[in-house]
Amino acid sequence: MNAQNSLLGLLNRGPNYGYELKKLYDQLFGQEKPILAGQVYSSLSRLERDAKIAELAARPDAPSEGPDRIKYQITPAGSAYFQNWLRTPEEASPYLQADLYYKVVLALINDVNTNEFLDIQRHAHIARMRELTRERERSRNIAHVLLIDNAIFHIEADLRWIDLTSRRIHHLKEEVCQNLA
Amino acid sequence: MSKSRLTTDSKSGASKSRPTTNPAPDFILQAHQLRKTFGETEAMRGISLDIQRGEVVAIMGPSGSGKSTLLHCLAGIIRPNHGTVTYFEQPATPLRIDQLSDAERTKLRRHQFGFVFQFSQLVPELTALDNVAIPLLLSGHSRAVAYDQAEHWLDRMGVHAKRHQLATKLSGGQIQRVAVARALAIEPQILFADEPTGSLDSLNSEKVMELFLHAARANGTTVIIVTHEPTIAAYADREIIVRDGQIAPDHLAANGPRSASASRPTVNQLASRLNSQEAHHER
Repeated sequence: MNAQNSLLGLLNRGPNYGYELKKLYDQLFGQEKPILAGQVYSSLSRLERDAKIAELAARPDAPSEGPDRIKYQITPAGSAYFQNWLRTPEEASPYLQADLYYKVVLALINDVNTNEFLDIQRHAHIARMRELTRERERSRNIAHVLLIDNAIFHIEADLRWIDLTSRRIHHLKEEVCQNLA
Repeated sequence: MSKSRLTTDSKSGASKSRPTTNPAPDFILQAHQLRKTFGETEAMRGISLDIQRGEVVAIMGPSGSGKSTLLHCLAGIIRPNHGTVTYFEQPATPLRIDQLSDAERTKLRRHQFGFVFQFSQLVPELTALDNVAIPLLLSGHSRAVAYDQAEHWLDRMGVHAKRHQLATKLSGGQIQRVAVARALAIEPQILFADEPTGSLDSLNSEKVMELFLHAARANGTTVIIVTHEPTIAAYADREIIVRDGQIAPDHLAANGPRSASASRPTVNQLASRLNSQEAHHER
């Protein structure tokens, strides 16, 4: 998962310090593997370089110099980039669920219509499945057919996850909001 | 069907559910602002859509989303509380299905529409051949023509060898193939299918769908399939997602493909990716 986009999504809710962003990230996504502080700061500096975020102020009570004490805010360009990223479907492939999970959580905490981008993702998955189905119909090679079957069933698993997620979205929102409280 | 019921519903052509790349779309069915309630449940809440002649469309959605209600309204099985359904046997002959009498809708369904359901509802005491011939006899064909056509369609669906078997002696996949043969034999303008492979395993579903849609496309039959299975929807030219009685907007169709389809890995590339755990960690 792209840490920059996640941090951008967290900053889309409002200005925040580097250290607080790390804490938030770990609460929402880093239960098993917290993000390294160095990765947070390098991501923030790249976001700043690309004018997606800007420094707002320094924390007066910070014990040391460095990114910890800097408060960042998202720029209009950064916000537009984030909204566009949420609505851009991910390529249908194995191991997609984790990326979609990040998007669902970031959409929820930013009050973005989650069903809208899940539907975009559904159409994108089915479009890819359609391509593979037609390829399978044309294929005369059973090994090729089996490989296509494998790809189709992975996409189907993603779609089942999307369906289930959209039905559990209210519970997820409650849980995520509790984490942020 | 009474000529007095023919109306021109120009507004329904303005449905936004499809891109307007085709300058002269040839619609066979147009629905506009359909609403239907059962008791206090609103099954459809303002559904509009256009179906092009010869198109294969999948209607998807979770249980209770209103997808079967939509199919039944489009096919004239039930009437909407509000809204219009216009059928064009020919481009210049619009027919308001929602305004037809019960008898007129029955006649329309018998002569112009075909149906395939999850449980095919073959007559168990009859052979596969008789099951396919009956609708042809009912629609006025001679016995010789009806049975000739029935044999032809059973052959196209790959179950000709089973033509003299009683329906009760057929396997699930064979039953669905006979049901499809029966529906296609009357050469319907539109074939409505509600979970047509819902009772079949993956391999039988694939075979039935391939034979079914190959035959339908070769005949230019428009097909509308209700399914909750994406693997079945993937056989269609496009899918419509119904949620809470409304159609979810299709941003991909409206705006063209975005990044997901910008890179299309080949199957060989997919194979190497499936074999590589590293691909996961790189993401």
